[in-house]
Amino acid sequence: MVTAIKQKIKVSIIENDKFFADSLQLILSRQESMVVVETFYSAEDAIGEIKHLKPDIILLDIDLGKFKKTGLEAIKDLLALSSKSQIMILTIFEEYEKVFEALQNGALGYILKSDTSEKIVEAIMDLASGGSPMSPTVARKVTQSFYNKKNVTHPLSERETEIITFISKGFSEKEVASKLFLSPFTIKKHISNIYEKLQVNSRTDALNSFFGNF
Amino acid sequence: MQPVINIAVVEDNTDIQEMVGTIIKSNNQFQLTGVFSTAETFISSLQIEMPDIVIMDLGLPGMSGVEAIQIISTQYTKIHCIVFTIHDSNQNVFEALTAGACGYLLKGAGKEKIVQSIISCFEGGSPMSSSIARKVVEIMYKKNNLILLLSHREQDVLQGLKDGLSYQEIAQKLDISLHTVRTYIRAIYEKLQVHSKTEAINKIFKSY
Repeated sequence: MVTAIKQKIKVSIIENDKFFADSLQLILSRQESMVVVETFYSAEDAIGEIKHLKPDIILLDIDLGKFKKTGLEAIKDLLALSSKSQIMILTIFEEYEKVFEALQNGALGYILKSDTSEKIVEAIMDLASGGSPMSPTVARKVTQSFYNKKNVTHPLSERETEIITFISKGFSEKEVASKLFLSPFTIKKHISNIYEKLQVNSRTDALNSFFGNF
Repeated sequence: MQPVINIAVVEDNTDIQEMVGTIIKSNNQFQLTGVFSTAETFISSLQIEMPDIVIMDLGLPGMSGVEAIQIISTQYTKIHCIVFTIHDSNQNVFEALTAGACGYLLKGAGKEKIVQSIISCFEGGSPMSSSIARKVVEIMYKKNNLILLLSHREQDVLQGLKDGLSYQEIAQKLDISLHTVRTYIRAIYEKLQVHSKTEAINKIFKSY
């Protein structure tokens, strides 16, 4: 009887936080399905070796401290040297701009360090089998970026849109009232209508709902 | 104590209705608010009761799932839509997400995945089947993804314009009438929100 031996997934770690890198290496090396081929503490170190290692998966932090190359810039370099490697960003940053740039540069997964180690392992397996794992809040930011508000009719009237736009710029209700030559009472009424139409209870929620929260 | 999640299902296939209904009813945290065979009946029901999450098929008779999602995204912003479909083309995914869908599951998804996805969506995530997540990322990787707003035929016509062909030449090339070419071009302008050939070409093909 011949049992097919599944190839272990070769993983490289690029992470300048030594403690995190070493803990991660320990956790991953306990997984039967993978082998950590190398851990690097800087992008420069990694770039020298990746061409030879050609790992299946690269776990890449995007804040690599004071080194010349940031993680985001390194994505393209790494893929140039090892085109079959799949890069998963593993970071504390979840700002949309960073997510977007990482994915545009060719990263195929984006996981936050705050996820449990089980989730991180799951993500590596998902990536290796053709998925694009993203931490929940990251995935939400990605799907929301598709939501094209211009193509859909606005729920708010022109006046309400005017008011919420002023509020988003930091004007107080009193200032908005004087700008629009309306009484503060009228502004308050419009704002309560805005809350109702957007189904929110607070200014922050209203702004997020109308302008999208990135 | 965990909050109860109210879930509606919009699906015209009765077997799938039953399968998803059973999954929802078997979970203590979930409450099945209704099962609807058409988008229209679901939208009407929102006057009476609004779920937190709706599991939405795309291929529905009458109003499509995408149209329903558009209505929900504008008028019922607290409801999150998880698409549940067999369709997995880039076009379908792009349309659904552009309409405001929160999650996208393919109809192979098992019970565990469906349950996890409902909870994830409720808690602020955007659950997707693995291959769909990969498609989404690939769409983002291709900078000029606006082209996905256009149907294949419209893309062919636009390509013809880009290549400098006259309307007549495009009609001949695609084996359609001049009238049809003009109809496609009107549709392209409307979808891209432009007013000229040049604008349309620039919007899709300009390099970033």
